[in-house]
Amino acid sequence: MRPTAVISYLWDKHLGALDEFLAQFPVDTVIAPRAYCYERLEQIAAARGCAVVVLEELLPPGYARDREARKVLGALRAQIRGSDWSSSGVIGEGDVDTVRRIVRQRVGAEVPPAVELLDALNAAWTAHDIRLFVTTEDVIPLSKTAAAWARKRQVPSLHVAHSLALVDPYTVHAHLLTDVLAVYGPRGAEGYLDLGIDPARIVATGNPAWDDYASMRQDRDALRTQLLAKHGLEHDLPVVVFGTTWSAHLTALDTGDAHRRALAAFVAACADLDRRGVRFSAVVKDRPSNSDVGEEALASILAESGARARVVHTSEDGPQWAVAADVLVAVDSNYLVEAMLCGTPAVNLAGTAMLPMPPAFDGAAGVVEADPGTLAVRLRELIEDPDLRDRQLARFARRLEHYHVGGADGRAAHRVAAQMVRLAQTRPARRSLRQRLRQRLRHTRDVVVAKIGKER
Amino acid sequence: MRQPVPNAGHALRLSSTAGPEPAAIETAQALWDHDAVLPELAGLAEAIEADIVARHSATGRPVERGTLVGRRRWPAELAKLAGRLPASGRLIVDALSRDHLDAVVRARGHSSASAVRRARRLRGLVSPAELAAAAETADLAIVDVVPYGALLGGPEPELSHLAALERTHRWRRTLSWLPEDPGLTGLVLFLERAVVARLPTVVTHRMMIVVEKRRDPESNQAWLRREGSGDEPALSGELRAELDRLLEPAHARYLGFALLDAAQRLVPTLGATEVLGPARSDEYLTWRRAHDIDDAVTSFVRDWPRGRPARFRRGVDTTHAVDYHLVADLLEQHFRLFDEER
Repeated sequence: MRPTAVISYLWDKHLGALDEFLAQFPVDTVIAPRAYCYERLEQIAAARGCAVVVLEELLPPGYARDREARKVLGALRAQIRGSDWSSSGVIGEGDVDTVRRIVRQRVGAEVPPAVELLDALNAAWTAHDIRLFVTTEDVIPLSKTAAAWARKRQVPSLHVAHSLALVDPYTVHAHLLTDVLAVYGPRGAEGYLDLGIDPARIVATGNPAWDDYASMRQDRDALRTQLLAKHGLEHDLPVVVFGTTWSAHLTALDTGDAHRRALAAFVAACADLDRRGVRFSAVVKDRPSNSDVGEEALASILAESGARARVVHTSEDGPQWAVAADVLVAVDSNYLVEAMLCGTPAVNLAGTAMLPMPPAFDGAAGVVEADPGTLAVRLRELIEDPDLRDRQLARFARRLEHYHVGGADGRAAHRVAAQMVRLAQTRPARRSLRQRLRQRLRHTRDVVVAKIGKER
Repeated sequence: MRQPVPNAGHALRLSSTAGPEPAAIETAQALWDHDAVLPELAGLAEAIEADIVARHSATGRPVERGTLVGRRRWPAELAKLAGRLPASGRLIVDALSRDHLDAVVRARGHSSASAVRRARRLRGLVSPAELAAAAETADLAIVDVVPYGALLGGPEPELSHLAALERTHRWRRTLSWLPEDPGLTGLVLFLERAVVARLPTVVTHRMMIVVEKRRDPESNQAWLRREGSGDEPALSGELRAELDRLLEPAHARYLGFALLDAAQRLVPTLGATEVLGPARSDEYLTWRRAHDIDDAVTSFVRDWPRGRPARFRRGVDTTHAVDYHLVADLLEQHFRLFDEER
């Protein structure tokens, strides 16, 4: 009997769901790629009595990636050389040799690691009885490859969305590779439904990474006091927090310059409010990946704008600021849904990160929409009008479930775990020899039909 | 045997959601009949209709209202309504556009057999030539024919020129801001008055016909010639400036661009620069091209490896790993979209 296993591509923030899953559905092993063998994963596995196996370590000693990948690379290079792309629409405009070069470079960089991963997954498959594959995303190269492998192998698979898709899934996001997608609320399914993905493959569970808000939002006063003290901010001034964004360059609708433009718009709005005598503290909550560049960018924008007021720059305490802020501003961002969860008035800054597109929020959600030109006015309204704030918060209460199932009940990990258990239990039962042969024949026929019917 | 685990997550069944309102798709389809509009648009529809009536109601002269919609023999109905008018009296009637419905059915192709059948059952469909003939017979002069409701869609989901959009959640989300945002309503009313009203009847499903009780066959023929001429209205500088201001907010711009795109599909001679002016028109074309580029890149990334079974390893296509960075590389290095400010 092979040991049972779960393959986890979950990010640290979603491991609470794995923990609850293992409590209900014990397995012998959790297999994870090295990059996702977090300390927390080790702790959970130890507590639940299962071993952790690093996926890469399942490769045989002496495994030579480049040798193994040679045949695949050869085939793909021949494809690149031999294809005529000059008449493939928009791609064929301009220098097609550039396209050839780009594809060749990417193939050379990404395919050998994929070959190695698939061999490791195959080794895992041989040595273990794999009951479930679970991942936080299916977009970046190796996660996508692993998700495709799980589906091919008919390992029940779950993708726990890494964010609510407030911007409709474009290009690299426009697919669902796993059996099931867990979104945070019905709003998170909308983009995928618009793509034609079968609703039966989508469940709404809430975000395990936000379960902590259930208790944190009770501690607003304490958190606020701590954060203001940490940054030397006055206690009696309202705090406006701005969550930065960045341009991923994964869609032609990207302006390419989201970080700077959005930040500049926020600083300009702050300067405008200063000039009008509105008193408040401004905090820029940057992303950890931006932190060194972000502080410089803010300094240069502040210098250009001539704004007198001090703007705090931090890359820490994201969730704490969502709870403690008086107004939270962000750009088509999940940070705004976190604000809804915390009961913090929120403003979505449109018109900087993307070319014109449908709104991230619906009109009844209570998230205020602003453009660079109207941000100052919208902020002032929320700072100065308590009735407006109350009305927006009342809208949050009515619409929160649409964006995040369970509201702030803190049980998303529990709901995701329930989906994981449901999927792990759907593995086909052991079949008789006759059934297995019949299945084999059917599969062969399907492959033949597929080859005749369409390009493979 | 394992205990069944209660399904604690919410499966997204269209018939029930976790929220207080029914699923958006269900609501939209349940409300469709030939006069209905989406609930978010009800106020807008009334505002547009009132605006048209007000523009064509000169003070001191009574204006009769009527409808040809649903009338099997509408020319007779028109004559009957006209019979109640005093000499030179004015009548405004609601009607549906035959040209528009024909264009929508043609655009949908052979897959819409049921749509064609439903379209044939509609009554009160008016084409410009039919109207000119009916006006002659009833001794009426055509004052104006005003297509309206570019946003209001067609009589049924299958028969709307916005059909593809109306099926989407993102469009309903866009429309959900109309009751909230006076600027958005202002934009739509402006476009109706300044652009849609001056286009041929093919552009929308609904129209209002303004006639007066007097014989003027030359004027009617002149109107018919203008209708068919293909000359498209250009906005004055002042109107373009106002439209520019209305398009400043990002979501108004999305709605405006989407409506212009839909209108251009029905009226191919409608040029962006006639309506938007050079700067905004460039922006619109960039926006349209961005969608084309996304579609092209998505298709290319999926299709380029086809025909190479040797790319599979352990039954899995190894080019899955290439997609993510390849898309960014193509946008950056081949299309060079991010070299400068957009």
